Amino acid sequence: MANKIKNLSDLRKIKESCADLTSTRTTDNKTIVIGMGTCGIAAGAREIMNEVINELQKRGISDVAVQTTGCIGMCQREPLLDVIIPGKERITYGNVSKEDVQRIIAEHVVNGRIVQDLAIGRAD
Amino acid sequence: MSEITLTIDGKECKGNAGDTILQVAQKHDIYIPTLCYLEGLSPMGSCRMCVVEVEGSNKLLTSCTTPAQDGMVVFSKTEKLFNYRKQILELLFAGRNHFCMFCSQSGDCELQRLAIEHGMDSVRYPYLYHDFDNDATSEHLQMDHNRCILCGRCIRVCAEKVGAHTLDLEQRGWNAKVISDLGEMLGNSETCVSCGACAQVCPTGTITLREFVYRGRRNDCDEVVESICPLCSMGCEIKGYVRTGSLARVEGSNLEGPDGGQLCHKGRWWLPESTERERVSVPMIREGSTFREASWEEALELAAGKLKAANSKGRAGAIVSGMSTDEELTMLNSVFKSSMNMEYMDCFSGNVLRGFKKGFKPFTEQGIRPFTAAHNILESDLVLTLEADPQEEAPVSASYVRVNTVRNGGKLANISTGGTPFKGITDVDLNIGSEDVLDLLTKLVEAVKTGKSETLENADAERLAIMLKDAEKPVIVLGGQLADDARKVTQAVNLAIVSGGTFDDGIATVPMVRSGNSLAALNTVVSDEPWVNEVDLDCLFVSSTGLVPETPESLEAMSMSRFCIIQTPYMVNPLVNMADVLLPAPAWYERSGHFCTLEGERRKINVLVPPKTELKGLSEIFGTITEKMGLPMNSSDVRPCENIYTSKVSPDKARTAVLEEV
Amino acid sequence: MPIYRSHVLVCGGTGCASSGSNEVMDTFKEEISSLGLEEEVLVVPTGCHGMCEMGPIVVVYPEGTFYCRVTPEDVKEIAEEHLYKGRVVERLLYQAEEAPSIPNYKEIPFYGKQERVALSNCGYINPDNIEEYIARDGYAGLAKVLTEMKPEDVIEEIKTSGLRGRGGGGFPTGLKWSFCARAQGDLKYIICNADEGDPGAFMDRSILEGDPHTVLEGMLIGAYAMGASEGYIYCRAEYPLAIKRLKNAIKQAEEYGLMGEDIMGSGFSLHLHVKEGAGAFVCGEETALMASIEGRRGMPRPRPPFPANKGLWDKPTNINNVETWANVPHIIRRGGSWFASMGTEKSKGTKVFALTGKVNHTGLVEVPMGITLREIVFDIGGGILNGKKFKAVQIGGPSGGCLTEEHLDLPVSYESLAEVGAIMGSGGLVVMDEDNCMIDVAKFFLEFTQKESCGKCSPCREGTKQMLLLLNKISDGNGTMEDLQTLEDLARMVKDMSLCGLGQTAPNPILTTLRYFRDEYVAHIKDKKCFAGVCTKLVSYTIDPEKCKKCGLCAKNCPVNCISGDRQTPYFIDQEACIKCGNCYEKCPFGAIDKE
Repeated sequence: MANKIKNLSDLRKIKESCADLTSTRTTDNKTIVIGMGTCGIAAGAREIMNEVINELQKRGISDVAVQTTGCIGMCQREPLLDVIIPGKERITYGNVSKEDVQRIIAEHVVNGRIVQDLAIGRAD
Repeated sequence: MSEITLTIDGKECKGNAGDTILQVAQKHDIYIPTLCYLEGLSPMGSCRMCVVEVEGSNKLLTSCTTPAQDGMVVFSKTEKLFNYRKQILELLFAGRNHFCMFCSQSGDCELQRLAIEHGMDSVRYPYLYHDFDNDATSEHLQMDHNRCILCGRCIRVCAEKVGAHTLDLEQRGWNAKVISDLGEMLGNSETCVSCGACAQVCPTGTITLREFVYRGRRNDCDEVVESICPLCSMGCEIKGYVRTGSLARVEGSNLEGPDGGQLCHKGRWWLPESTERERVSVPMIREGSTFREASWEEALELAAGKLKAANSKGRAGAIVSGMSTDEELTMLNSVFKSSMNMEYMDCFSGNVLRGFKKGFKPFTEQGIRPFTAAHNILESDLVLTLEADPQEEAPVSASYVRVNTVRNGGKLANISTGGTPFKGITDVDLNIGSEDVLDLLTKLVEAVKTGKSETLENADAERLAIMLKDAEKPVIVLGGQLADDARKVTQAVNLAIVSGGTFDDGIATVPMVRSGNSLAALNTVVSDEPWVNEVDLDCLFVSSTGLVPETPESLEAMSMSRFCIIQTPYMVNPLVNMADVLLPAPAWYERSGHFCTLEGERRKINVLVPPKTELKGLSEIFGTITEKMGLPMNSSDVRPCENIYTSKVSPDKARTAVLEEV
Repeated sequence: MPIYRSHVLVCGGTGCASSGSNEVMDTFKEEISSLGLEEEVLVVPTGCHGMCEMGPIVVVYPEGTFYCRVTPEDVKEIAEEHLYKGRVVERLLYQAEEAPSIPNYKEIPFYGKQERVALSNCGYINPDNIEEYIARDGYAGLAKVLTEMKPEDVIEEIKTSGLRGRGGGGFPTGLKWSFCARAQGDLKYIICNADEGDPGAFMDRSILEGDPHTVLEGMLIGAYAMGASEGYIYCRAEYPLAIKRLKNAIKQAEEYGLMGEDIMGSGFSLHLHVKEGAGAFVCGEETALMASIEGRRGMPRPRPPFPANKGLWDKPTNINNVETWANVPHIIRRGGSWFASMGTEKSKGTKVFALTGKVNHTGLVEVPMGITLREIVFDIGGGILNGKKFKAVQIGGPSGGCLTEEHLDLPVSYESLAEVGAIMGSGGLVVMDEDNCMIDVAKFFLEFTQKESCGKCSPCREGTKQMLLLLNKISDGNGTMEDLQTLEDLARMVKDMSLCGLGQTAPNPILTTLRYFRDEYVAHIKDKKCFAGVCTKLVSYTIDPEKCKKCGLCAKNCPVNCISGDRQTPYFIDQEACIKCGNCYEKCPFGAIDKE
């Protein structure tokens, strides 16, 4: 089960493969917030969340936090998804579908480019 | 050893690197008070009396543990230190029950002496009288814990020198107490060998010797004489405290020596008792079933006559004590052997000594001493006891075995026909039938020599063979029982040789020869063949020290002989009853002379108490007897100790002996 | 490897465990399962967060929400509201008095001024999982040392850092390591002193329970630097959880090839054993500790010779405290200069303190050296409980001294404390207010040291007993001024003449309280009064007839029947017969009894 660490690169490999074990436990990461109020859930927010997690996993991204939040009031725009990049504006995306998730992650989260046609709000 | 110089209380002192500050101070007669320190024992630094101030250090250091360094500046008598020491002494007096008035040690107590030295006229702390018990369960020793200052000397001597480790501390702090074994009273201890070493080292009246406690404190005694104990061949150095013609107390001396100044229970208790026994004071001649007093002239005339008559027919014999001095033995050898040409001469433990003598012969003939000094046991990495019970035969040698095994990390093995002499610490224990001993020894010699152990059918014996082969300095202890067959002795020495057991002085064996001067007797008065109880004698001369009961064989011989001349100090029965002529003899403490000891040294026995009545020594008696017999008193050409103590050839060149030679 | 979007960290340190955190954790697992969140939410047991008064503590990531005093009954709400719906449960957040609740870990004042180095992983990782330790750069220090550094370089780095022994001695660690490195010998030992015996101290315990690998890594690095190949962690048996964690950590390290023979192919080997102590404070003293490992009675011995030359089984040995070892991997990873950038000129780095006593927030804190007492007590500790007045801080446990109001702005460092007659000790800080009697405080510590004295040397064995008796005499109202002088002289003697640190420091509470609170002693002696109202024999109880409701409860509970009265007459205490036990005072439901 345990592989003996025979040299420095073995150690690094383990560190990398375990990084996600603890990377969630920091509050300074990029964050994706998904509305999980009753309206959100009804609109399919849970599937959106699963999609987000799968996409991150597929891409091997471990330094992005996934949070949930309650209802913020824009119920008709659910599912809502916020992207927070430290130091930048907080962007809210509305009416997010499973297909959109891929785009948002690829363009905004990874490359830093806001997906304009899906964004509905911005805040500092 | 590099030399160092330091200043103590303003005086320049030289010492060797590795000396402690206290050692350097004592070498220069600078007094530093101590309580827990005792030369010969490992220093503990716990009483804090010897604490000194050292320039450059803000900590106070115990001089008994701190190594002296070149250039150190030491102050041992500052006012601060004086006051601190006084406070500690007051604390000690306040803690337990140090009521000097009915303590036997008052006047001879180190705690009391220090208190007086520090002007302790009052104690500023409340007396707490912490209640401990007074352990009187041991027959010989009393331990009153109320007087204990927890100096740890008793623990250390019992562990480091006697090796029994009977004593240690239980509980901690205020409730700490010295206990025996795992919480036993001293009398119930299974490990205590009753040697009294703890009482000897105790600075206060905590551990005392019950019999001697009111016979006289050390300071009360008229004289302190150095001598040795005659009871066994260890020849332990003693200090005899003499008071009004009695031996009030016996202590071991030479604390820095390998035995740390310990004595065994025999030496500690039998010796002082011996000054109180009833003496034979004048010569006596038997008349029927009683004795009448006679003059020396008449008694010696009668004795000489009987001896001469018997000797002319070859029917005279003599049995002599193994506790006679070298000088006496040499003289007896010259009288019996060369002057009288008497065949029948022997020692009380003759059979044992004969066995050793015969067994050793192939090696003495090579010019090599077949045994080594007993304290070399402490240098060994493997000790093998062969049919031996050292605690019984030469008790201080048992201490060496225990210390070497438990503290020095040496291994211990045993081959015997019944029982294990050192239970619980023996690594390989072989208990076999007495008829199998010789066979096993022979097989072991072969196995160690060749490295093959198939002939040994026993797993333990195989292990022993390997241990012997691997040992760098094995020592074999030869029990007296081994000597009932001289071949066993030879084989045992062979085993030592093939295992590489040699020291600079001889082959690494230690023979348990019992009586104090057996080694010299072996060379002088032990006959080549046994004859006691096998020959019909007209006249038998017996010289006994009266310290050890006679063996049944010798008593039998005395009763069988038609005429018995017995010379002994004490009125002991049944010995005295065997006599036809009874001659008084000086007791062991009234003699001086030399003994050949197992410690590899010739040691001097000194007169402790001069004789009260007119006593004649053996030389004077035989001077008169030979004169009356018309025989010259030739000087002996046997020099007992020289023969025994020098290896003319280096021991590592020893060759094993083939058994047929014996 | 599945990625969990949320981690729920439940504190499993002994403090929280005894408040029921294990049940909380089990309940979380059940609730998460019943909500179908097992793939998304991971429940992690961690070590101590330090704010032990608020336990059981649960921290939810990625938000970093800090929940306090969580019971199993609260878990359902947290799971449904926060984990599922993302709504923080307000009522369980940290709340200072009359202040809005603070959701986030970082913003809580208790943590604001802390700089967690030795404790950096405590509360963040599962101590039983070596991979979590590695994920946070664990064993990277060891790897660096084995691949890039020579033993001398390692010692240099430690010297640069200025790290000093955290067990109390404050001896420069780099220098200590160099002694052992220099010693001749084929076999050398390293030892971790985990016998934390100061009453109320739990710094080492938290590190061992919460992050055992940091100690192991530190010891590995040290063994490499000094040439040791065998080691012992001497942990007191009263810490069964720490022992369990240590043994497990060693096993895992061995499985991963980070402990044992030929580590990481470097040729360097180390074998560590855990040895349990058996209930003696004195075994925290280094030579007594070594005697205990050797199987002998745990009693100290005089030095020289020092352990670096002749230690365990007479071999060169280096002993360090848990916290000292725990700092080593950080120093190697981030550099000695980084460590030295914190602290004061002679006291570098950080120190873990166990802040206890009359403060609002008790617990474990790690602060940079040089922080003032005021900041610790008031900013981190939240000030004195119930708004009482600050009186003193006892620092260093039974070996330490007390500091008063005049020292509040003293920067905490080894030198500054020594100057005022106190010592840093292992880091115990007991805060006292006006209701504490300093003689009682001295008595408390002396009772401890007297009981724990090993008995080897006379000054400590007899002296602590007599000092305690004198203190009792004074607190019972029977003391004289002469007794005070005797006490002071005795204290000085015991301090100078004792064989080991226990005896040498046992008089410190007495000497410092005499230095700063002499008037309290005098009041006890001359006025026979204990103004703090603690020394029972000096307190008098009187019943206020106005307030007395004649219920008779006091009389019923009086062990000496000295209270008289009935339904019509207010009750009355016979002062002559009163033994000042305080029972009536405790029992009166109307507060009608005055204590003065």
